[in-house]
Amino acid sequence: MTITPSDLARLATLAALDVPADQLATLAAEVDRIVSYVGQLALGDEPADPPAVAASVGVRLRADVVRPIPMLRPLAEFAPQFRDGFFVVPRSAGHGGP
Amino acid sequence: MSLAAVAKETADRLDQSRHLNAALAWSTEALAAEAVRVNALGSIGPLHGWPIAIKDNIVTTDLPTTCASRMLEGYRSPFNATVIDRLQAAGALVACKTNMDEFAMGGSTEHSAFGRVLNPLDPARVPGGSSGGSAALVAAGVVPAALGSETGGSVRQPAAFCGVIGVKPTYGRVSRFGLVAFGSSLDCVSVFGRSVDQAGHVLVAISGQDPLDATTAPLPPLKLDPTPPDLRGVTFGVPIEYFPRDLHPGVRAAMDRVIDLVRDLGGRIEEVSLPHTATAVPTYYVLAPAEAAANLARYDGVRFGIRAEAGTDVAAMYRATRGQGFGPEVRRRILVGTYVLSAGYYDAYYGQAQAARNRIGADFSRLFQAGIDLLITPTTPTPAFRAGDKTGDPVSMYLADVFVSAVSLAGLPAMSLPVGRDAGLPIGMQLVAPAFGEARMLAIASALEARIDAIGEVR
Amino acid sequence: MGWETVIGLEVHVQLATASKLFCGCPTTFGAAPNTNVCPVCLGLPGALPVPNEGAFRLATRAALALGCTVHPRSVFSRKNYFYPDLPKGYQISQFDQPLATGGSVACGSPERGPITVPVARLHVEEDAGKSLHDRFGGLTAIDLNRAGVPLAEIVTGPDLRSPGEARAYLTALKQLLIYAGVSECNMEQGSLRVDANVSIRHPGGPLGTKTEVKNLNSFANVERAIEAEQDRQRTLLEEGGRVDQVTLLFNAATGAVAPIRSKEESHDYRYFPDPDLPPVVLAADWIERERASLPELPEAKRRRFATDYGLSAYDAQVLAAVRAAADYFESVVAHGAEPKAAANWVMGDLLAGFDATGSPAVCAASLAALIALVHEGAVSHSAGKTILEAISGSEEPPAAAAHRLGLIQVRETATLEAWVDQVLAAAPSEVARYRNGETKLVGFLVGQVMKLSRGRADPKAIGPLIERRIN
Repeated sequence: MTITPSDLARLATLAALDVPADQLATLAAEVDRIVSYVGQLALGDEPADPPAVAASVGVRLRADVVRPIPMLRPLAEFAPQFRDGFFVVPRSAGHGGP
Repeated sequence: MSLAAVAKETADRLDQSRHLNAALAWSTEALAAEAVRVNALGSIGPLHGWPIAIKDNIVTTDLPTTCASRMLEGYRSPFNATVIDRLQAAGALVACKTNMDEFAMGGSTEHSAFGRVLNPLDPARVPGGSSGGSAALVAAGVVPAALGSETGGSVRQPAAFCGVIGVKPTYGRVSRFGLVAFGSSLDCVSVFGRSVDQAGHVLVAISGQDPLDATTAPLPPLKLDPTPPDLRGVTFGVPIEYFPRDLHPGVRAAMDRVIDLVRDLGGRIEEVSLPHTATAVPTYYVLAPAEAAANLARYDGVRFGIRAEAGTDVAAMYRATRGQGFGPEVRRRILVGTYVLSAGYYDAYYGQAQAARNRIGADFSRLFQAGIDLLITPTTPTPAFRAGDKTGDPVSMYLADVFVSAVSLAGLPAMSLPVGRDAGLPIGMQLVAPAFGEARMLAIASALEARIDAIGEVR
Repeated sequence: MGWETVIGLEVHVQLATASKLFCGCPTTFGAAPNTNVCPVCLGLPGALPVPNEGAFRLATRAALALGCTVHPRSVFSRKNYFYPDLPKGYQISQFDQPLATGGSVACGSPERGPITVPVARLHVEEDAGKSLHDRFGGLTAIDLNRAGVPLAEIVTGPDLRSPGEARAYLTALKQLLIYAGVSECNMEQGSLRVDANVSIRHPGGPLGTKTEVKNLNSFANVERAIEAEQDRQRTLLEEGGRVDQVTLLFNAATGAVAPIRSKEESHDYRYFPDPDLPPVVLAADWIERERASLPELPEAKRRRFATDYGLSAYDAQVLAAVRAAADYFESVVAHGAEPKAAANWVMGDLLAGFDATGSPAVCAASLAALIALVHEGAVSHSAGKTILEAISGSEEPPAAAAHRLGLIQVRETATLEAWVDQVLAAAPSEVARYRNGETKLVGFLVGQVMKLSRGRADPKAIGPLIERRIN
């Protein structure tokens, strides 16, 4: 298993992370080293599915009651750009949703 | 001493320890305001007047929360973490926010956007990480106790490196609401103290179910065990996998000494095996980055934090903001996490890691069901290493977690206790207890603490 | 060889809870931007989701109404993608372990008659916020009030065969969901949204490449959009081209579909179980309680109305379609009205009101009393309609209104005879022709009497009276 600079570029796109072109190769090598190291797990000859530790108890569900967590600061105070009550971002190229 | 005086002295000590780079945000005024707030409580809480340092990934309304990242530089949370509310209700003073590895990713507190933290016992060495700032402030005597957080040993390991107590509770014992998420299935708010008793009292104050965290256990808050501990009849398991041939000789000598002491006090020592120990670090470094990659997706420059201006396209804005906001280790882990979850690789990495995690948990359950009360291991394979020693190779840094990550994967309570020094450097012993067995673990640790020469040379 | 259209629908319905899926923020529609928000639905650092039992209750009811198997254990997963109105950079949804699978919806296909459309799955997920692209020049404005609102996504396989079938399925589905009290299903407010997967093939052949059509804001537009897309695909294939797997937006103004500008990266959502949320475990008795509290569903009600009340299949279907109207009808019958008459009155005059306001113009007891007045002949049928109009929205009893308006039929022989005599005296030539055998002129004479009485004379009594007087 080798992660090439072009693999890395694809991962960086998925993760919305700019990686300068001159760092692609170094970063690919670093990620490759980590992935190779953790990849030893896949080589184990253990039975694939040991009994899960998780109990049958499920998540605690909240009653359907309106009780917002109080906000001690207005949004405009921490938003990078805020106008007329809206968060504002540059328009997306296709401006269609996924 | 009045609360105002405690606040002033704490601020002075923080000022004087500035060279450690352990605290990121504090002020005399903020501490004075804390004293006023506690005075206004009108009751004497269990932590009345305790100045407590807070790792900078626990959100506070009065001080900034940056996770030691450019991404959150200057960010002020509009809400407090549950643990902050609980500390304040118990009468504690929030002393400062502490430096850390960025977003808690690292084992040396060298991966902070705001510079590395010095080990108070040897400034050339790391304090451990990722909660290195909290550990250093407790070790330097600036505060009696501090909050850190653990995902894979980030309190126990720096506690060992700095010669203080570090306690990680059972997953679900303490609310994560307000702890900035790294690996959500592993993250635990954890505690540093100069003594077992101090750490225990802080843990009691912050523990208990929280309606805002669906993963907290439906249990009443922790109660410390008031009965004087007697080690006769207590069975300590010593897992052979934690004593490899190349274990640091100082660490080995310290452990030998502790094990002899346990025997002297009437405890039973039993050699046991945790056969999947070797898979813990790789398992951790699949699961934690996978969860982190998703948890850190919210840092996109839209609603809070920094935003890099990058033309007119929102996608370019994301990439620029995240590319500039995250440091190298965070970037690596996001990429690894993205990789192991991506189409075609999920089963080989994430799926395998989940199975490995179950096997690791089963290893521990088997021992505790077979009558082992506590496990004794070294906390780290070596004492604190020198700054810069491991920054060139991430995997070598990861391997410093070898004795702490299995416990995190199993969600068990564990702690590190200083048990001596080697060439002046502290050595930590780890105790591991069954789930929700904190009270007994702390009581036994207290008994050992009373008899161990924690600062004497071990050889 | 002909073409066959193959359609699968993904329907998102907002579960009618008071609070959001993972936090206590209200779900009210129309609040000022970014006012129904908190650290959780804003995705602020340190916030955690806690799931809403009410959302699971409603989703379970929806699943049961669709005949799905409700799984006692379901799992939330994270669906990872970046979009400005998706605060956490992932959507909490259900992926490989959804709440429910394997249901169906019965409806009438315009081409194939009655069909049963299989429902593959129903899962619970959170909504995203809203992006407004036309609010500020060159910028996108984000409102996160909707972010975290609970949705059920209801997915069919590629089992529908025409745009009309798609519409029939949606109509029946909406009926069921409203019946079960799950959602308001209001497309204008976005509480029901439809995406259509469309492909075409030669009948019996393998499935073609499918496209996804979005931005469908009414059932009529779903039908139009699928028609447009099937035509687009047919033209493409018949001209030797191929269909690409794209997402298209429907333009209601032009009736055309157009692909969203394709994005470079292929989607890789990297689903994995959400580590903040242990599995949702629903106890068997909890599920059974929901099942037991479901109302009678339209299909069963239709059958019962036909057999118990002797209504025609058409009447039974029309009445059962709207739960409030069906309940009202039964209430009118319970107040003593004859069922067929009650059905006619409810369908004839009141149904439109249900559609507009959801409640009847007069209470069931009043309508039953009015039907009785008509039935016993105290007022004529047409007077009944006048009375209904007069008492709409008021509490006035129908009999009182009839008296007030002078609409009670006159049946005293003396009065009727006086009217008849007056008419006969004024129409000597018609009387003569009648006597000469033109007996059908009695209708004309009855009409004259009705006119003279301003509608109050009992027409059934007048005919014989006229005959008696003339002969």
